[in-house]
Amino acid sequence: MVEILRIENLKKHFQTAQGVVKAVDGVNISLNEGETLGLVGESGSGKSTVAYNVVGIYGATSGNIYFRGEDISMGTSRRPKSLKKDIQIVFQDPGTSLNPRQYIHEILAMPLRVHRIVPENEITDRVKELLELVQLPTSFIFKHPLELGEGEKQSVAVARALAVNPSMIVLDEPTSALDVSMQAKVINLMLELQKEYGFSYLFITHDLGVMRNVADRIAIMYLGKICEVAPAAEFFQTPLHPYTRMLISSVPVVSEEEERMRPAKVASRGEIPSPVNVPGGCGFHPRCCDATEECAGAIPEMVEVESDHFVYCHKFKQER
Amino acid sequence: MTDTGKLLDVRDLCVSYRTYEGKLKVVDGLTLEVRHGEKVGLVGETGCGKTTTMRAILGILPRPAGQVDSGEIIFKGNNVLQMKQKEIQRIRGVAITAIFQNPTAALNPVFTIGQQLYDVIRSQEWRKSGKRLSGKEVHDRAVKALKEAALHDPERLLSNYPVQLSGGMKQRVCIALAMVSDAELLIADEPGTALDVTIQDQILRLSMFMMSKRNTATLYIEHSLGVIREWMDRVYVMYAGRTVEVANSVDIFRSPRHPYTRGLLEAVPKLTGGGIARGIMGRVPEYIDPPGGCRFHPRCEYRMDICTKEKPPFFDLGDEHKVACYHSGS
Repeated sequence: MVEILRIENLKKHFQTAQGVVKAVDGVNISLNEGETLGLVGESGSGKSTVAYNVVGIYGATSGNIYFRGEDISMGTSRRPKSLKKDIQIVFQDPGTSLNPRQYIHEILAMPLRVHRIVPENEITDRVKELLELVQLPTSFIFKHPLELGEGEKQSVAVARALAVNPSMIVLDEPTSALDVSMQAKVINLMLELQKEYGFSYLFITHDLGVMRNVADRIAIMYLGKICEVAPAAEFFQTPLHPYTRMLISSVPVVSEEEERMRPAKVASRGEIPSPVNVPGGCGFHPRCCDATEECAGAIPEMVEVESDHFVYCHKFKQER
Repeated sequence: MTDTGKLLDVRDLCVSYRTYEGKLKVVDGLTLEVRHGEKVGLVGETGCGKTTTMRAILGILPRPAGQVDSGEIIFKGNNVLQMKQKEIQRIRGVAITAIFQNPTAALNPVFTIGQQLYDVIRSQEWRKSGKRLSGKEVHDRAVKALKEAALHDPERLLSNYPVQLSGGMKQRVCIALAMVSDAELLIADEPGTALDVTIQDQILRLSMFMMSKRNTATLYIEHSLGVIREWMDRVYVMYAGRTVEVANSVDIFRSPRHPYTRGLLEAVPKLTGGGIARGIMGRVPEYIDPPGGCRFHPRCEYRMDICTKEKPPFFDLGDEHKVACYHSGS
């Protein structure tokens, strides 16, 4: 498998009035060509900050991001144009990511013009093609975003990301603003497009059910750090990190099969602390039911429990 | 549950909004009931009229646009729709309380938690028994309410403003506010939606525990089917302003009958994997000119002639499982 993206010890700190917020604090993950990597975590865990660093909305405080071997940890302003084109993003809320004053035509024509994808006289044809690609009627070109339903708007946002023929798409909670039946449509669309064009997805969501069905591998984040990385099936069958277990056992499910596979209920307790004042040692220890003194003192190191299954937890250190 | 009498009985409720485009019949012939101490879920997609139903029951429809056209909302034998403002005030916030979806919007940002809690406690006691409480009594009750909602350090919390609290804590405060009155019916409008799963889990456990302790009945509005399955006794599935199926929360997930319920359940991404179903084709209809007959018929694969012409009645499938569908009912 060819690696398309590698993130090494990525840190992104923000200076605020309350102090330094370590939104992302030493993240290591990689993504292969044609693969979907899921990034899960509660709000405030830093998953969106990782995404924005990859796309280049932020420049990294320290650490490196390699895209096909090339360092892209600086913000977009210093990135070559071809690299900007290669990595696209779909945001969470299509209501705010699409300009309400533009026609769908203008929204989709803009990236085509900026990156000179097709000559000016072929733009309308290409826009129509893009709409067909995301299974929307071509008559939408002279509609405004407000005239469309939520799912349709998100499909337009997907079409805009596809317009420049990217190789990787960052999906920042693309379906959390949608109802289940709309969500099903958008997700199936994304999966079909991936099959056909071989995109790599960095898929961010807090919905574990969605994650199970889209991701090949899953990384879980807590307070700016990775807790566990595993292939999707394994992630749900044998979750190791106490946080992963707590998260999976908190998901309300709709069938008995799911109930059987879900780990025994770990009563969730506490809340994610303020990122200004992060607990020492393992960030999760105040909420963890297995926490020991060591957890409060030292930051756990990565342990490879099985091939491709990594966990950052002191509990698994001795077993090595 | 020994008492099976009806606490809340909504019959053929029709609610509409007047807009520039015309009259929107958002709720059209909705029927539901909540018995004493029962936990009832109301589930449906965005725009199906869940929140409008809640507002109609509480009498807080936006005026003058929203109005109840017909139907009855009977709470403990009295029709709420025919009550005078004074009488409604004796019920709302005392016998019926509510928790809203967004705790940030539900709390006033310019008053402290204490001021808001004191106000509610004082006014409830006044409306309930006509008694005026002393400052000390009000304070004690407020502290007790916050403690019961599993909030640490309630004394300090009372002088905090809502912005100083996290989303989960704000929702706990809202639960405390809703619970101080020992209400008989709690209407909750997606209280966990704005929160993370672990926090949602805590909030649900807390509110369910407090409700069972007081034997409070609840009408729980949710779009998450999982929450309904794990916590509710009975479920109403709502589509485009009508209830389309009702059953206990075991049957509805084991053997859903209405094509809409089935489509909705299939579209939920499962933890066991195996991909996600296509979802239901089409979209929720516009209320300005809703489809005649069964409102689901344009999206239904089992559509028959009669579906386009007549509103399907409820077919009884036994064991309190009812479905409003000509295809799966008869």
